[in-house]
Amino acid sequence: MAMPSSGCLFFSSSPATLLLRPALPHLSLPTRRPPRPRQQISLHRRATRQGNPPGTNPAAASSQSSPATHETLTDELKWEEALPSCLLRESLPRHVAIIMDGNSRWARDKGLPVSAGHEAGYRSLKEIIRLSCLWGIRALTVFAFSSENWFRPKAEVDFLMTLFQGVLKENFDIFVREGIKVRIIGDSAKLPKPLQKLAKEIQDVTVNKTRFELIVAVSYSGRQDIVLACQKIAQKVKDRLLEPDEITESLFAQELETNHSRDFPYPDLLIRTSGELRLSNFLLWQSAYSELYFTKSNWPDFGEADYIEALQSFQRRQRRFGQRIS
Amino acid sequence: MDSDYGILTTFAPCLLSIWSSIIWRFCMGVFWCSLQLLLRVVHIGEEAKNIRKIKKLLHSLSKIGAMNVILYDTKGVLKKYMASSELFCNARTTCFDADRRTVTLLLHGDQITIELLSFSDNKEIISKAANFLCSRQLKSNLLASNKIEAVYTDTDLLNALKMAGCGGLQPDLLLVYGPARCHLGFPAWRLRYTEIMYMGPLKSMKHGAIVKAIYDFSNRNKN
Repeated sequence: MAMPSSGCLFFSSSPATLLLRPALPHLSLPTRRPPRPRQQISLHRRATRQGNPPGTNPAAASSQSSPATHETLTDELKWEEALPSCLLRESLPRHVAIIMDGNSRWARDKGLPVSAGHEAGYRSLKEIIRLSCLWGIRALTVFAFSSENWFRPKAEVDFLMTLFQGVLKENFDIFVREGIKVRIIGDSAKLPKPLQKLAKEIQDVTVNKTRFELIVAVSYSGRQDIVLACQKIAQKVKDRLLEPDEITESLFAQELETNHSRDFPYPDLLIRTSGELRLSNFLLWQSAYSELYFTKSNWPDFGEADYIEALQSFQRRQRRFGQRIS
Repeated sequence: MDSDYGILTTFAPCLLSIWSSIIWRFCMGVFWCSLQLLLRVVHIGEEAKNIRKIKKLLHSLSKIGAMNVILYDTKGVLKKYMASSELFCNARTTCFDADRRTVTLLLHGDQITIELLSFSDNKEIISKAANFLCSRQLKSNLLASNKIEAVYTDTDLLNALKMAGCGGLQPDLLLVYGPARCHLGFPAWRLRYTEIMYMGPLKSMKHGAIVKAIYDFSNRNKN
């Protein structure tokens, strides 16, 4: 996966030397076990039997389509068993954003071609998606390709687009089967036509999926997101649907590219790998209250242990947002 | 490194307070020149009411060589203090700009310009800028025979932000003081490539930690 303005993209080989990339391994997500032939108690009945009002689980209460309100006790037990003991389910972030940085540095450190770094980065991404689904995180936004990355050598950019297309194609059925809603944000007009078509298709097919949201930022710029929101609002004003004086902060937020996610528009936790300490034009508006976690691990090395550490760090923080702790 | 600077400042305050700034500047050598150009931002959050610490922070930054500093707190507490000049009552020279958002001080013989921002300078200002752009577009369409489609660029929005009162420079470094590691709504437009370093609670602020943060920043590879 490409990094935002980080100088760690693919090798700058000529197109003639590009090798056919081996087929990408499938993304494997935990499969659901069939229900056991015994009485299954819904979460609602279990909660009320224990005296807890339904919806006391913040993650469930905050989401209209939380799996916790639809799943059975057996499924809830499986989640609790899967969650590491050092993490508290009720205070997990619902939406995590990741700037996947360091693929090239990882490859360089190992004496490998940059393409190997991006292959390894893809494997990391699959693992993090798998863990996020397993642990009940509801949305994941990843920064795959920034608007500034278009200034890379053409061969690199072409290879990236090919890789991205391959990833979507390989995992299309898995996203559908596992209930993952895929959303591509960014300036899609710059993408190759086949990729645009595939991206649109996967978004249309998965639009009603509710188990997990995967938002991939490709050709994305936080500033451009804000500018385009201005443009959309200007169009509404032009069409007499809105007066300039009626433009508010919440109205503005509705026009951002992340507004499609009604339940989780803003990330609770934003992770950046490779030791860089910047947002690099990613989710500038949306990250106002995101807990920032910077790790020195390069993205291909970011695995379960690093993810747990980031989530633990999130859970340890006092997240008050201006309110006083008594 | 923190303990070394701590010893330096506590042993002979009278003499060292004069010499220390010279020594630091000498030692920092290579990046001393770049310090002149850095625009540092301090994000204070809930601890904005700790004026004594903020003054100490400004003195530290001035000693290091900060020329431009933005102080940000979500609720605009510092702006209120600025209005009463309590924050700068010991400064040699105080010069406010027309809208009293920026003040230029003389601390330790060095000039430092401080811009005060709050949450209202982020999303609210962007909304105002959008209002400005839309109003201008509407007027253009009223005057023109053919309605022009609104196509805005970064520059258009930047100019609109300046008109709305928040189109300043992008800071190079954001030092975050407080309990949460968030930028808490610092103006989104100005945060694109800003390095963000978490410094802990303001009450635990140390001069050495600030020096270390700036030193680390100066040694980072930009990409």
